[in-house]
Amino acid sequence: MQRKTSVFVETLRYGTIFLVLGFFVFPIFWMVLTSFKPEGAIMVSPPRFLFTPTLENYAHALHDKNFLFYIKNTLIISVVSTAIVVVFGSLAAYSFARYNVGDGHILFFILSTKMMPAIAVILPYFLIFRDVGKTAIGKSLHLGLDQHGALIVTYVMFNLPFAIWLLVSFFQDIPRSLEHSARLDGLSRIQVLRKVTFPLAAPGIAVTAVFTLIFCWNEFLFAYILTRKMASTVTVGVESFFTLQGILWGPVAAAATISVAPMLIFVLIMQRYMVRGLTFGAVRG
Amino acid sequence: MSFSQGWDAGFKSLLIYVGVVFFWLIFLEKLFADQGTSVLAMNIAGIALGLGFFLYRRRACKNERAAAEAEIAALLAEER
Repeated sequence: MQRKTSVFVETLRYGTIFLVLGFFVFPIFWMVLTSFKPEGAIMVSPPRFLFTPTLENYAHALHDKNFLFYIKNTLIISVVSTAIVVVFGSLAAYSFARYNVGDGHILFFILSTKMMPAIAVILPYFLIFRDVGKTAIGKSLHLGLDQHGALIVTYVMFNLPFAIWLLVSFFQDIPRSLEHSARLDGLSRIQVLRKVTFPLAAPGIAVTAVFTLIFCWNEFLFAYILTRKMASTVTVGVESFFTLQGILWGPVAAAATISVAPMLIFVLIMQRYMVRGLTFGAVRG
Repeated sequence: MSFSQGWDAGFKSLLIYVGVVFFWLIFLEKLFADQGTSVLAMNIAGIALGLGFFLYRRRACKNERAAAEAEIAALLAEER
């Protein structure tokens, strides 16, 4: 009887796993499947699961549209934005967590910048970068329209509040007594920060970096409005397959699959740190 | 095997299948004279590797759980 119940429970468990996995993963699965389909097999009804796979959509995306150019732009913009966000976010979060700068008012003010929808500020951003790009500083820092600097500044502005709020809880969980002990051992305030606090907050910083990178990588609205050709990102690159002649679904799926791949690999590598980091900030004794 | 472990293993199995498809189409398909045979072999290889990984993870999770349970049982026995 025990064995029968066990088999039933096991079957139910794996059945549920495959059902839920299928439900959530199906859009990604369909995207990958479409990317391998020949043109004639994409928009047929009923949809085909059995077909002769081909790489012609990838060839179209990579060679004809030069999709690697968009990947390169996205990589530059995302990595630089993430680095800036993590550095400034960590320092700001530490000061909020340890010295309670502004009695919580500044922290709330920082969050308030996330309360407005991005579309509300897109026009002022467009006008600012258009004019700043014409100045000497703007030119030297590539801050004009269709330049990497403009998107980097925008992404830093929009991701910094999130990073600070996420990191504050991580720093608050590190016992002050550890820092006091390090100070008694003769370390300066900066050395304490560098040798004690930041290494302990590393899982939290890793989580923040991963989330920021994902946000930057997948952002569409600002990239679409602030770039034309030279600094376009992958999301804008995928949109470029929506032509006047029609939507090229095969290359769209191939481009989407290519753009998902780097983030997927990165997240899988960082998975262990992410899980540790997420539980680290959440539990309080 | 818990639900989250099953989810993780299932998703990675799917990624392995997709990886096999890419690898096959880029490197191995040209070695086959008939495309139908190549597709069949590719699917068999992809499914076998994906399923193999899932079963391997399932067994590893079960072993980990058995080891943890044995450790707890030993601790309880020591306390008695």
